[in-house]
Amino acid sequence: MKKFLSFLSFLIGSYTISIQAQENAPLFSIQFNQTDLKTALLGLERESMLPFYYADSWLDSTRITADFEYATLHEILTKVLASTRLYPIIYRDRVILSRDNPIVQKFAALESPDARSETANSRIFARENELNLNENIQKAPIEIGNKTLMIPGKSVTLAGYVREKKNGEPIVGALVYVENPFRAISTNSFGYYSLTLSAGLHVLKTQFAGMKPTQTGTLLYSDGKLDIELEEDVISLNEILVESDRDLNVSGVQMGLERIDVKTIKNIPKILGENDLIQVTLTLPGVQTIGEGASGFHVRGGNSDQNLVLLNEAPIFNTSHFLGFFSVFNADVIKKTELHKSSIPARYGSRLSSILDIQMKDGNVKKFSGQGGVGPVTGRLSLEIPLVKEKTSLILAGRTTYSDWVLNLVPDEALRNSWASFYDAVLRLSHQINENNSLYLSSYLSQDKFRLSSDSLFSYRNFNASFQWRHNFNNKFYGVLSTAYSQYDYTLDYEAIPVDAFGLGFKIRETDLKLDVSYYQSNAHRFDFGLVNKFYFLEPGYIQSLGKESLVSRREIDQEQGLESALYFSDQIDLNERISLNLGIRYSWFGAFGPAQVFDFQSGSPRELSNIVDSTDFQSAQIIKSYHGPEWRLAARYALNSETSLKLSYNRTRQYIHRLSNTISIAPTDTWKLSDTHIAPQIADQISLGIYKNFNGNNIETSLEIYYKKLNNLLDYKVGSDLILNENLATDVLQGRGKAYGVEVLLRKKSGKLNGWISYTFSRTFLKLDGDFQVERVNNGNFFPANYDKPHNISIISNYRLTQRYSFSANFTYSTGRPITFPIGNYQIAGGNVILFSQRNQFRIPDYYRLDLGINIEGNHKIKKLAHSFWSISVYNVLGRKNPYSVFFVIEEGRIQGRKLSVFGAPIPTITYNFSF
Amino acid sequence: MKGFLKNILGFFILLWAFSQCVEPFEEFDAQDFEDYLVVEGLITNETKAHRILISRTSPIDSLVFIPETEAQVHIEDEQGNRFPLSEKEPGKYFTTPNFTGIIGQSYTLLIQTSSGRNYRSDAVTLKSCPPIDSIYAEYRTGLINRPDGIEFYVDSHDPSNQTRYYRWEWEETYEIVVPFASIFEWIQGNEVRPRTENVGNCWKSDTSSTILIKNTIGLANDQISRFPVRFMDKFSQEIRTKYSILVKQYALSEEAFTFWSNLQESQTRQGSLFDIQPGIIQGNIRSLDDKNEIVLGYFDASQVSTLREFFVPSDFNDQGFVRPSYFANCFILDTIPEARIGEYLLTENNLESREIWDSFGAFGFTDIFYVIVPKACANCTGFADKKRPSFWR
Repeated sequence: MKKFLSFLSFLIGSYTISIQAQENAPLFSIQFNQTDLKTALLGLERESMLPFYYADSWLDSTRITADFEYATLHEILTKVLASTRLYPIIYRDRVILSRDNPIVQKFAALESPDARSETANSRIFARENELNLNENIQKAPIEIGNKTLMIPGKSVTLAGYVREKKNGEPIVGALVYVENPFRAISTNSFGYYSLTLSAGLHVLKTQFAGMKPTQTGTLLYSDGKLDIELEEDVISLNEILVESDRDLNVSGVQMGLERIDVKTIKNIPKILGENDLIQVTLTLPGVQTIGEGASGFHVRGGNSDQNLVLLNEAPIFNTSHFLGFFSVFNADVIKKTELHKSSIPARYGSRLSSILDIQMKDGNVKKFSGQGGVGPVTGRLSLEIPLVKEKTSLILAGRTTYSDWVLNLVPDEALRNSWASFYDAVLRLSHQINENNSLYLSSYLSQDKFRLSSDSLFSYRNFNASFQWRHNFNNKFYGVLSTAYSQYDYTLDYEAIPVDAFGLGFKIRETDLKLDVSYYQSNAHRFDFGLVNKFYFLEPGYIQSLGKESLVSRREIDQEQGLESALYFSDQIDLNERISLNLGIRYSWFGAFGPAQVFDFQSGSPRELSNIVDSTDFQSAQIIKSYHGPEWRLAARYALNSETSLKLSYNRTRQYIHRLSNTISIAPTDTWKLSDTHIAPQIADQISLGIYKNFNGNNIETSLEIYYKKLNNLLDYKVGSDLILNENLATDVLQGRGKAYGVEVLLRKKSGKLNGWISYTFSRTFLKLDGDFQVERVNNGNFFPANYDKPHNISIISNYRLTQRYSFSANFTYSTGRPITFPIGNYQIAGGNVILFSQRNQFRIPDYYRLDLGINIEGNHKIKKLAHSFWSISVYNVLGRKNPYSVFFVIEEGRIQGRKLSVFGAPIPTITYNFSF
Repeated sequence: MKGFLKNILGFFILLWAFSQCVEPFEEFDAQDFEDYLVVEGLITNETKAHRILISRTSPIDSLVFIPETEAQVHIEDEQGNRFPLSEKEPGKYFTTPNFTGIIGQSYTLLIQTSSGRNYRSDAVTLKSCPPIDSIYAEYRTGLINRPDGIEFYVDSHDPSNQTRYYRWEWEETYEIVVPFASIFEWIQGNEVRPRTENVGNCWKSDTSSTILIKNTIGLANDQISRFPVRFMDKFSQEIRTKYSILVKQYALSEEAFTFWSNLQESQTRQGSLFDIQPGIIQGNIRSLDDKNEIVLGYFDASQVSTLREFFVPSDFNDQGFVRPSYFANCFILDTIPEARIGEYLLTENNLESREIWDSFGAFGFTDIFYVIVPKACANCTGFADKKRPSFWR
């Protein structure tokens, strides 16, 4: 090598020879199609019959597509090597490639008739030397844009996709940046970035947890595109527990944003072998559950219907399988999950408390791959199929329970006649038409079925489909047009008594049409704006006879229809390196449409059937009632230094669709209801303040966020209301206020042998139902703790990688017991004693704590093998603590006795086998 | 469609139940006690002294009836006629024995407590009620979360489709036959004489203590089919010899049904995920002095339909039912010579727990020996009534 270099330096002085040698050069015709450099050079070597001199290590991954007809070897080589750092010299029947040889470049400049270009290139030349000093740059500078348009120092926009090298999967949230001056952006949900830089040479750096960071020398002439591929970092491959955009928690304006990585989901000890996204969500600060096995979650004092769960932009109305024990998402095909707790971006709306945005993978565009697993309850398989290489990929995934043996374990004979099963399946087709247009089609289906002692059958189903067309207008400007359809329904067949046998059902349908546009005006301003329309169509319930003997007559609650429209605009302003603002507004409008009959109640009287004074009939498509209002989304960040920042945000959200539930937690039979004349939209205001500090090169993240939230028009119900098949809900619904406040502290270590996080949350949530009449009041109209008010929460999630193959994980959770309503006395009626309850939620059940342990054993790491496999062994609730789910009271043996009910009151071990190929 | 949700949720509660475990929980103290007035009363078309119970709530650690005494209680009909009630026992107020409710007439309950507070019920109309069509029973096995046992059902129907909301109460009576009916009676000392009356055959009665309601809203016909009024597990003594159940059927207004349904729901909480949010269930009694005062209970009026049915264990033989064995473990404890019988019975608490069954004379002995068995096996008068009910057949 040294010898070779000295040979080159000898050549530097004699460059003209190559020109002369070119005079009578033979002409070649050759074609390259996605040919790699090495092959191309070997081909040329064979064709020209000249020996080529170069070092293999100089060859990068450049692929060449070109068609040459009667071109000189020099012409061909110049073109072939254009995007590399290599330069050809043909000297005495040899071809010598030089690396980073400035003289050749200079020669090109001299040849140019354009004086402006010459000066430009001389600058480049100077910079190029600078670049040479940087040993870390792995690739030759890539020239981007049109040389002739180059105006030095002018702002130009560089945009492109960041993808995974292995499968072409776009990487969301990768940080693309240059230093000096610092300019950074993270890729959006399509893996797309857009950076405004000055024309000239830059070292573009990219980093993403779990991937090898890259540095790419780029020579920017004018606006241009650069796609970046990242390779999985073998060393950190298995260490990554928490994905984060390194310093994004400090540098971003966003607050209350939690990203959940699929690897995290997989590393956490599981319950009955399922990788559960919602289970992991529950370990994040500010997220709570009512209890084990309860469906849904509560974010910062919000009710469980105040979370919008989006799967590929389409809402999911029921996130649980098996009444709440498993989540409906198959973790194998999830790419990315984000939970927005505060400073919810303006493009999201229609729920009060949080947005859980789940995105599926786009699929492997390079090779057929798949993964799957077998656990005690389910089996799952997902396939990624490249239909058109580098362009189109299809994902098919499914998961299903494969036997009812769980129920069969139960000694109760009657339960053996019962069974429960579920499945979910997804399909996603992504197609890249060209650089500027991509299409995505996704569909999801999940179903749960339960049969109880051969006379009752209950089933519920989520179905959704979404279509997205993404179009780049130019480097700074792109838009996504999406449409989504979501449906949730359930049916119940009950046949125990033939005369009373019935079938009952509920259905909600939502169709969304959205346009989201982002405009990267400059590095100081990024505008996001768009329009959202959501059409709701509800069949609140029907009941009909089942079987010949049934006397049940068909009854149907009037259908409801509504339209929610919103316009939003937000500007992400980077005032300077210290101050960033995100000013957003979303203006939403909701209308409930006819046909419908609306009752008017006597004013000054409680809303009861007896107080109906009039009714109005609305025709089809006539607006019954509309509501509208601004939703402010404001956030600010002040960087104290590169590792510390302060953030402040104010957020308003409005919600026009409500889940009707008067049970302690979500019941499978809960239905949804649109706002109407008598049910006003729920509104929340949240202000939060946070301080973020990273240590140890952003490997350790700490944050402290405090929030205060005011909730309005929350739904509650009169005691004893029946919400199913209720024709006059207005008489049963109460609307009240709520307030929530809390502090969330997080310490997170992102990489290293030991990684994980510890979070502590202090939070309180109070509700107040203070109507004008006694029946409309709860706890005398005073604030009382919500069902999910659990002040202290501690979560410790940790993962320790012993070797490449063995890793251990431990998960500890503590929370204050939830409040319950305590009996305050008893009285005699109907020949028996009954317990008197009052003062909702004034007593707490004992605290909850649980430790789970898990071990993952990976197969060997040979690169060439058929399938990669690993075993997960986990024990849920190792301590076997009988955590009380609830405390209730019965009258037995002549006295009122307390009973404690626990779910999973013993350690539950499971083994899962997982594979991928 | 009141009470409907509960039925459906019950389904899930059962399904969910397999994964849970229930234990006693004693780590609680009596919280704040709240003292409210409780009123319960029902007048029917029967001619009798109708009863209104007026009491107060009691703390959770005592299940006692706290009477509201010395109240002035009246029933007023829609013509303004007032019928006074008198307190026969503390907190139990009765109309005169000749009071008869009239179908279609509406009645209001008026109460003035001894402390001077005034209460008034909403006016209730005495609804007509169709007859009970039949009472029948089945031996049921393989029930979820319930032992095997006999379920008693009621059928009824209203051809005019007017009743719709039903409530039931029952009174049951069962015969007890002891295995070793005592034929001797100890008098004093060693004096024992043959009994003059049968103490091995008794009757015991009980009344319903749960809320039994059902509606037929949503059905094309106002028809009650297989409504389970009573369940007894397969070891129940009630069905060992002969069992009789008298079912009383009442018609309810929608409002009354809602009240009972809510009350029932509040008592069937099992601590599951799908328990209904509890709260105070108020009826139709209101304070005239303070509209925010909470008053519990319900005053109602209805025609009553009754039907009595008898059952014996052999009714269920073909369903696999096996007649339950006697509740007490019966065997001969001792044989005591006549000369020592007084001494024996007065030892410890033998008199309370043991009984002479029979006697025999042993070969070679001049003395008579008395056969001693557990008292429960020989004499039922201690825990049941030896008087044969007039309706018994």
